[in-house]
Amino acid sequence: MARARTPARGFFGSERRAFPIRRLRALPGRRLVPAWFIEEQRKTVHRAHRLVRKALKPASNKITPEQRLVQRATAGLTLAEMAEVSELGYKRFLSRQLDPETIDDGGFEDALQEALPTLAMTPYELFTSGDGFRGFIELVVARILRSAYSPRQLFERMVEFWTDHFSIDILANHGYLLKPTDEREVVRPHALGRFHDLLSASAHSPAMLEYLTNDSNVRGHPNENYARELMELHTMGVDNGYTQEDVREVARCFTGWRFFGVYNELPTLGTFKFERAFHDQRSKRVLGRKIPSGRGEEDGLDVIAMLAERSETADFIAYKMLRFFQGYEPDKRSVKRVAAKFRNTGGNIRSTMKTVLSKSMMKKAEPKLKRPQHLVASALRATSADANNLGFVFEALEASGHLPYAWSSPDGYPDSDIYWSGYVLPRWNFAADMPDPGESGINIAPDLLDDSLSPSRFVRRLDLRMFNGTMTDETRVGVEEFLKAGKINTKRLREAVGLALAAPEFQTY
Amino acid sequence: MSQHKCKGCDEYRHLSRRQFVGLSAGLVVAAAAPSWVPRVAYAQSESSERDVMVSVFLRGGLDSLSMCVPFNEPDYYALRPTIAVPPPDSGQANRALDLDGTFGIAPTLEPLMEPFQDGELLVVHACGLPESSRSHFDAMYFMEVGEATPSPSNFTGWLGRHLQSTAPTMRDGVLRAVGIGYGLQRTLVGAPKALPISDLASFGFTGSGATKKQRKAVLEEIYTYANEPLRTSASDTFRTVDTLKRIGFSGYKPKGGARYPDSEFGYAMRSTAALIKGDVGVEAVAVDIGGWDTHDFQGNLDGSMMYLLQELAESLGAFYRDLKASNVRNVVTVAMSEFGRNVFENGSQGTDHGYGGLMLAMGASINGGQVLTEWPGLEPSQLFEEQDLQITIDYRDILTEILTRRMGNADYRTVFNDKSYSPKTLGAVI
Repeated sequence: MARARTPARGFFGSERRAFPIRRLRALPGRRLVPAWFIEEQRKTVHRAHRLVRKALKPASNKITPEQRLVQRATAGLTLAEMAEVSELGYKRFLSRQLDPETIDDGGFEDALQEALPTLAMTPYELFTSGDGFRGFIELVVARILRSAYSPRQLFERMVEFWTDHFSIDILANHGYLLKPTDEREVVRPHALGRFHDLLSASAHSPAMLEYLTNDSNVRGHPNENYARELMELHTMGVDNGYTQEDVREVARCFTGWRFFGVYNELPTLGTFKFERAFHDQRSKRVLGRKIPSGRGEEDGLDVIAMLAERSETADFIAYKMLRFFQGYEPDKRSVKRVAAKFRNTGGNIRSTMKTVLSKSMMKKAEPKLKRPQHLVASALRATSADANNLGFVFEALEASGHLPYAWSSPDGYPDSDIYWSGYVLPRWNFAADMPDPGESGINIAPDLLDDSLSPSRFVRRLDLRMFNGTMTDETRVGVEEFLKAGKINTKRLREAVGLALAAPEFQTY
Repeated sequence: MSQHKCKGCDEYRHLSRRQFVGLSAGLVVAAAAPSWVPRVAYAQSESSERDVMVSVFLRGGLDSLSMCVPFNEPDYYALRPTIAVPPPDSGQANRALDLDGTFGIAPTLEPLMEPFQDGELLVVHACGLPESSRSHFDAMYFMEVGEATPSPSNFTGWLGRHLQSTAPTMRDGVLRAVGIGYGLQRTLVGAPKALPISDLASFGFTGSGATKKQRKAVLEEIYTYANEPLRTSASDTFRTVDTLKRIGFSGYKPKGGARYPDSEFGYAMRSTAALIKGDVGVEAVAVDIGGWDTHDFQGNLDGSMMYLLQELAESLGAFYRDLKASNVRNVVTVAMSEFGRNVFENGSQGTDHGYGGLMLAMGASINGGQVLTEWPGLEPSQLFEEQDLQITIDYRDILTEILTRRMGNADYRTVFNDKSYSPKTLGAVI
């Protein structure tokens, strides 16, 4: 045959699996988040509730920049963060969230690591554990739990952002073995670090190299898949300052960037290797700059450094960050400001985020539709829910098209209300079923099931607890009418909570 | 747009006002269309004349040479010593069923003989998207978008763009397209009033039956004040729930003795028939059937692929019979896959990712009963990259003909805007 397209063919037969939703449904009812942790979080919210109830003027249901900040920096506001921002002030709240290492997480991450031991495993350990899929199962479970419960909320939002930016389909090929390590060693360590480091880590990540078929990008038979997405999706943005010829040359720079395959069954399995024998050592020209001949891995490293510094990259990342955190159509001036910050700080993500989430940016924030994972996490947060059985959550995410790490193309789940608004019914059904433990296995906080309150006082409590007092009149009236239409008991109160979760102002943020 | 005044609503309406004032609800999705999609003035709808499109995607890369066998080609048998389907005159149990003296279909495809002999099933051979990819994900993406190596900003599907650029057949229809499955197929992305529905029979509100009406009424009320695109999406959802309920999927009885296989795909085709006969204005349905990535033991009578072909044929055959007996003649079904497979078998009695493939088109308006091809041959010099069947027919030619002649599309460029593409008329439509 003229060309062996991929030397590793057979080892890496391309296939896409079904999401193991059955296994998620069948997860044993064991505790994932400790009861004492939930109890602590509930207490914090109750304390904040007392404070906010006094502080909040009844008619002040305009969204302040502080509330906007909390909404955008977290996976759904709770009164705990609202109390914190009013105590610390806007800037200090933001600085604290941008410095996640300094946030005491109340033992959350430790408990999570204990409950989900595969989070710390290498691909080899997963492979030899006899149940490689467990790594996948625990990773998707951790994604939901971290976004719902971690006190390092902004950090988890950044993880979400970069997960989509450097999207890898966990269902493709050996993603189930490789993605957990990518999350642990690429996305999380650099989520608020330097963009260059993040990009370089991603370029060395076996999960990425396999997903974008760089293992078959070899001397004499370049495969442009990774090179194209590197420029188009990860750095400069589509058709933005580079040519098709640049893509071809970048592909040649990354020849030989491979990894130890899955069937060699060595402890190095699923780790990066640069293979000089497969590297095209002739000279290249990328973006007008000459890459000299006779070198090895440096070719790719130079390209990474070059791309991380391009102004097109700064513009593209700035635009995406603003679209994610501020609104679907960020204005040019905001993009310019954020891009300048990105450039001037050498791609420092933490510093750039300070600008993205600054008060002036949040004043311009536009309402966005929560994506389903966001909706789920925010519902758990707003109701201080004790969720250990996540089978229900994954069924809801499956029905609304947002299973974690399962977007099949490299552009990541869309950040678009047009795209997600097509799935209203599964969102409503999630809202209706979640507060009912018989359906969901999830227990919402007892103060949201207080049947001693009158309908109007109960709705007022929902308004404060779940919306920081910004529920719309329509929802208030609607839920109150619903409560008045039947006997007040726990069942009806659960349904009222469900209606509040289904309301447009809860579905958006 | 309601100008109802209340505290707190302004916030949520802001977006609506800015983006959607003056736009009718039906244009909401179109507002997000890529800028290169020409704004086409809606032609006056001539609804009942148009065909409904059922687009079946065979995911995994269909081995076209096992499905439709070039039984006069010695190379076919030489390159596939263990998995070739024997010629019709071979007398073997697994011999191909002769279509035209040159091509034959695998024996398990027998249920497709009825539409073929009726002249309503067209087999398009050596067909596909030129310059596509051997990666499943890329090739599916390209084919569903309808462009080789599209940019990430072009994420809408060919069928989505078609619906975007044509007026609805039913003026007040609530649902123009359905993607059966979780998540809308890329093929339909961009279509106005398109919903992904995993099971048409159970599309409805959950929770206690006793309070369902009350809860629904509350949501209906509060969503009239929501901002776009939620508001329109919500009102479409309410109407869709009611509409689909009226169809009564679970009690659906196929006609003409059609027997849909008891499989996911069979069920999807059965529901599709019920949906189309329900006459609620649905113009397009996307359905998937997976499992075609036959790297090993695909077999030629009882291998994995033959059972899959059987499921496909029984489902499409039942669908054909059901609609014909119901005198529903304005439906065209197309089936395609992201690529074909290598002409030679691999070391594990399967086939690896290839290039040229096959497409089916079925319906009363289809010029069927023939294998449409410019056969490229299987000799080494005739192969693509020395390993695959060439593509001599661009699958977009078939779709363009159907869309423009049977589905009211005024300009194929609203759908296939690739500069390097210009359609050829091959006579796929009567």
